[in-house]
Amino acid sequence: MTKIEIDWNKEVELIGPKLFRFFTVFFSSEESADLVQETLIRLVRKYKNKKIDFEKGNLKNYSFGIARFVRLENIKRYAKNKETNLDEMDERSIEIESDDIENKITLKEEIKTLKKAINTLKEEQKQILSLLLDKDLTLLEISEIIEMPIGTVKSHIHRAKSELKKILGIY
Amino acid sequence: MDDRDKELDKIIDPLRKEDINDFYIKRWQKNVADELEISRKFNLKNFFFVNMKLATATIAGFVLGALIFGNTEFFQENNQMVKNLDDSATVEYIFIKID
Repeated sequence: MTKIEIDWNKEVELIGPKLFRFFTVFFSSEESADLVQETLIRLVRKYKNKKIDFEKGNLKNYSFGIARFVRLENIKRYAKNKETNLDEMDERSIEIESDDIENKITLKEEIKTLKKAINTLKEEQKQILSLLLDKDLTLLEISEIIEMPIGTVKSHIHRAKSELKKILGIY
Repeated sequence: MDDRDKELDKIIDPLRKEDINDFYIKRWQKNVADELEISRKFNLKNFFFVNMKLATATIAGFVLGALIFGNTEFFQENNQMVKNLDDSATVEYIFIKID
């Protein structure tokens, strides 16, 4: 495999926030920050051990693949704090870029409600939704990351959307 | 190919507005840099360690070999034993009278 020189500072700036959003669907901000760090460290090690094939995928896709496993490994670890964490993330850790305070509060509430709704969905649907948060990921890339046929991914998306609309009262 | 569900994208859009604290990004960058540094140091250390082992083994081999085969008395005695076992070897009996 050809080793490509990488500007890691730039990659962290690009990939870090995407991974962070992926994790914050399931964990608090502090936990998510730790999990992003763990994911990035594993990504660096993979790169150093020449296990990244840039012909098969870019660094971002590899990082999401790793993030999936990091999330599964840590679900149990953080599970006992789950209820507390959902409240914590509402109050302290959600930062919204907005000058309008009223808008900020509304948005915080929306985010809180959305996260709770997503956490009631099935595991596969949760994973797919958390990947969909990255607007740049195509369905094909998502299907490769979670190792699922694209037809199945679309099916899960359709069902997740119906469920969310039911929970959130969107018609 | 844009085959994403636009309606679902709109529903989950608020989650994208969550801002990332710069402090986190700097922390991740620092940890990635530290990890790269560890890997670099480990590789150099590993390189020397492996080659030191090889060099030590080679030297030890030479020293042992010199001790065993360089000792001519030992070599000669063993050489004699091989000669005695040869089919064409003859046997000499020497009788010593002890008073």
